Amino acid sequence: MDNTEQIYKEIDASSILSTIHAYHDEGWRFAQLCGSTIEGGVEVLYTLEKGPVVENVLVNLPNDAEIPSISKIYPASFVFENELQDLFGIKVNGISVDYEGHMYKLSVPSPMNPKSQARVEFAKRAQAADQPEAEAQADTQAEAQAADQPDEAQAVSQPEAEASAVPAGQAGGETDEQ
Amino acid sequence: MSNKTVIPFGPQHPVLPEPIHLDLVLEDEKVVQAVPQLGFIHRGLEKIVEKRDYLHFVYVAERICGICSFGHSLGYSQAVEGLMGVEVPERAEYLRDIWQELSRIHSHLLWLGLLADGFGYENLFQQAWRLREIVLNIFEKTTGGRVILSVCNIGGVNRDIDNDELRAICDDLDKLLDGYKPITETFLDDASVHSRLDGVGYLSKEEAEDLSLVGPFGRASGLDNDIRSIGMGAYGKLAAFEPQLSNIGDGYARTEVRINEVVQSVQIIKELVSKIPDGPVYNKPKGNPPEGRFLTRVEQPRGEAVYYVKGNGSKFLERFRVRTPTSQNLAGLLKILQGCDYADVPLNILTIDPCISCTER
Repeated sequence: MDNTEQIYKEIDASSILSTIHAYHDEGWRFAQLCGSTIEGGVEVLYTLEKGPVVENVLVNLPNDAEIPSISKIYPASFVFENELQDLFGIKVNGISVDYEGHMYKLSVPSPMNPKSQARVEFAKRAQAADQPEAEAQADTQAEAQAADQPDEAQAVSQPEAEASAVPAGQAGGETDEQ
Repeated sequence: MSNKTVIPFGPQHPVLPEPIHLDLVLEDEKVVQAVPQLGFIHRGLEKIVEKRDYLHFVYVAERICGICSFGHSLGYSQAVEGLMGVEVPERAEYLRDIWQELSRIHSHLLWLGLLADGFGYENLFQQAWRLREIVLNIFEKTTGGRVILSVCNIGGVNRDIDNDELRAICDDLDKLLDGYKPITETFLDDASVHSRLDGVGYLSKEEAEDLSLVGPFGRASGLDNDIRSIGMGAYGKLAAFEPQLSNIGDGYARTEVRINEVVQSVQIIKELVSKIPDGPVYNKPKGNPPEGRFLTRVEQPRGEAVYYVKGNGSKFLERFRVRTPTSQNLAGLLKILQGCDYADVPLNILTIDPCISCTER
């Protein structure tokens, strides 16, 4: 079992750069950066290590917050900061290699944070686009219900379908001949 | 003033077993900038933890990558054990580290083969992979699998290896070393290999520190970053552990470090086999992971990997995070590509031993 002491320090978003700078100046190495969805926002975890000691810095952010990049201090962080932008909808300013939210090819914006603005707007658009489809589905259901009704309904609908199919075929044939 | 040309490199390229794309900005034959494009194989495996029982997820974690599969199951198990306070039986810790060292041998031999293929030594490539088969056969004998072992679990390991089998493994590894010596002589002493690797992708120790490099990539520049030194698990029972370092900092040094690590891993396995205690190998965890966080580290073949779990008291974890060695080393790759010759780009990429499946998860 790993007996490494778990150290987590909470800081404000305004002191991210100064805190990480201080760690860098004391000779700490950058270990990782990741986001987690929490109630009302996103929690960003910076991990730094120095030999056997590991320290974590926690920053609680509201949804769609903006934070400064630490890639000027620790260049290795650029991948993780882009990941934070892509998956959690947190804007990270000044990343050394900034994909502006397009590092991963995602079918849904910020998939790890369903409360981000981009995701909410995407859901609204998807719902609006689904609306006509939903109405069409309702019509189809009504037709299906009608089809389940007495035989008369089927007797009427089948010849109608055949009648509409035949002229289409004939029309095609005529066009070819012309 | 020369014109700048952008040449796309990848995602399909003979030196790339996995897809990554680089836009190389060239001035004549010199690379002045390299911009990577990722996302070809992003699978969102970290997200699945929210919908899988924490005991089942160990098999998903193992499938992050096919080369370091055992290490990922070990890292995830170690993190959940830390969160839940599960004590792992001592024999299980030894067995885990034996499998982990076997994984390192097979990963380094695979890489040596790819490197040989990268500079046109096809016979050397096949020699390296032939030796790797010995390790894969050991995996098959001891776990039933050659790539996905499914043997590490939360609370220990699923299978024991009896002591006779462990001694047989040591004999197999002796045979591996007999065949390994001649190919290392070619890698380390051949004039053509020297001319191809010397000075390629040089990084100083200060640069390696600034870039927070992990694994043999950093150790080749003299950066002592081996997590095995802190003595976690059975590594703490070793009489001595000296990380393999080099001060040369180029492609040749990275090859030398990995070559030495294979021999060192065989020695570690032999020492662990000589010291392994008898006893149970599995301690079944009780209940669900509590609310809280745990972060742990594992020395994978490509370098240190970080595993972080966050529990909420239910059987589903709230967050699982794995920071893999290659994602950390990408900044170093971009650094060594800047200013290199276009012809050296494939070798520079190879010498960091990239694993894109790990990077994108």
